[in-house]
Amino acid sequence: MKKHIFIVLIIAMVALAGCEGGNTEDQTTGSPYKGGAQGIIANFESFGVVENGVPTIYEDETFPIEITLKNKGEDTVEIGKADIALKGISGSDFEGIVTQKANANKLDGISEFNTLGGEETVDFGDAKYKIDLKTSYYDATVFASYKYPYKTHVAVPKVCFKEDLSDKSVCNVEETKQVFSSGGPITVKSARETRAGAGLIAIEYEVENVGGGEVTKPDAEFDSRYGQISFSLDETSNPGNWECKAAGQDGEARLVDNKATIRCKLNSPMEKKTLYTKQIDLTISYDYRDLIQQSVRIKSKG
Amino acid sequence: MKLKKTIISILIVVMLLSVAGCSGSTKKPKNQLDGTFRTGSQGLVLKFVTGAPPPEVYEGDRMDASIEYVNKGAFDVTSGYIYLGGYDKNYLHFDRDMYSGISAKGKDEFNPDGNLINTATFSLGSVNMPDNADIFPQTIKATACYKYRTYAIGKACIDPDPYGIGYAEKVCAMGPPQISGSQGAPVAVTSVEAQTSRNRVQFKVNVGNVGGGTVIDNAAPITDCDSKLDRTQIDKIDIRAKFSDNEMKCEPSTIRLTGGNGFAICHWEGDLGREAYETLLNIELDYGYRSSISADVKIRRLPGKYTYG
Repeated sequence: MKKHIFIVLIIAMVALAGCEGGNTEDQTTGSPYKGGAQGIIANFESFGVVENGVPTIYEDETFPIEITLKNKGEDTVEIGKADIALKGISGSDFEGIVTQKANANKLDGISEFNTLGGEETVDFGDAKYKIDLKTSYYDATVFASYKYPYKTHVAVPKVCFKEDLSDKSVCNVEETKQVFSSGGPITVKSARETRAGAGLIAIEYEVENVGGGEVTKPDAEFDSRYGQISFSLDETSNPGNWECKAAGQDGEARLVDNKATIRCKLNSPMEKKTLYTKQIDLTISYDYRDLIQQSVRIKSKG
Repeated sequence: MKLKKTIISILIVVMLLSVAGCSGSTKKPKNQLDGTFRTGSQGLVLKFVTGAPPPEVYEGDRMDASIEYVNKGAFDVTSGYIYLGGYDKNYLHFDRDMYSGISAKGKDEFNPDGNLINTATFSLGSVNMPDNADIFPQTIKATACYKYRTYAIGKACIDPDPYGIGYAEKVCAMGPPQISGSQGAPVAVTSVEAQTSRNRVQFKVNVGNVGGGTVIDNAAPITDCDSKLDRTQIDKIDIRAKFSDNEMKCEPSTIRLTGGNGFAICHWEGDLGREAYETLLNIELDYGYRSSISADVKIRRLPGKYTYG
């Protein structure tokens, strides 16, 4: 008997462990996007022989500086738009390299036809440390700052257009709506529809920088104090009928603590008896920047 | 039986947890400079060989003073001197009182602990003593004088806009260069303070005599340094500094030590570019150094050999 109870308990535990649990939103059901929190990911290719976990070369050797860009989001980055700049080292210390380059190929976003996304390795040359090393080794750290323009597309599939709020049929105005964001470092975490006056509705989007880097409006300077984005409703959503603002600013939002709220409100009241649902599409545009680093140990040859 | 099963289950869980807790490979502490030999605060280290000189010797006996010297610093000694003194030359006649051309290789990758020992021996054929003494105490002093160099090397952040609130990413922050506390020499760079402004890099380099001996002006000769140095020839160090390939101007270029410490301000002016970067700061200190050891010897008269005046 005890043995049977024990077996039943084990089976129950295995079954529970297999459960997903929690409030996970099923992004793939009904979502027009793959989703994800990444845009372009950059990594240094190996510098050379690894000793004790550190790439190591001798002072009379060179090491290649190559950076691989992978597009893990859903937007495409055109040729020459992903800029990479090497930092943290002096041109007086190293020779044989260039310090600024861009992608030579288009970096396609992830799609059903390209599940891995576009990829390119950018070659900065073979670096050689040219200062006479008086110590047994020097750990040089090479940084690379990369910047690229990106877009996040946001869909709220069932916005409720209802003029008579006493009518309980078809849909509800005051509620959190299902929202889908295309893969990118800026995402919309939630969307809520609200009343905004007689015959008026509004949608509030909670935007967040989840990529770990910095963000600014397209072609604007990055500001270390806050991030910035631009946004607009797509043509399919009749942007002329809406006014979209963030903290009172038209078409632009400032991210404080990596968060911002965009509010889109109908300009004019709906006609009487209006009752339908419609998808509203928003596009968030921005330049994104991130920094990677890699150390290399340059050993004295004695 | 049940208890036995419970105990076995607990033991299995403990074993699994122990295996899970293993990190797999020994992690070395951060910042440990494996293989670096530029540590320590000594240069040439002297030691009398045991029994040479002996603590006691009888009149008429032969005596040797053998000095082992080893370079515990990171700079090669060439053309050094070892002098023998401190004793009454009327009674003790060693075959020589000086060795010149002393050389001793410093620590390097193949000799990281500085264990290459050399010996200088001074021989005395027959010990004498005054006629009217039964015991003649003497101090044998060995003094080494040599030229030396300290290399102090550390990472420095060069920031052309240290106080700017600009929009450029900074990959490093201006601060004291990471120079280790000892550099394998008896004179060390004890600390460095960084001051950078647009188009000017400046470091205040503090130095100190950490070896316990006497610092000699690099420009002064080290011959006869055991007895003929004057005050103007001691406690002076020549300093040179550079970062990347840029030679800095140090003022003063010869540091005067007071109480064993001193400093110089080294600066460089020019185009630093627009962005912060890391590079190596190289500081070289050139000087002479003197260190001594001594041993006491009692010279005794043999019994029955009194001579009364």
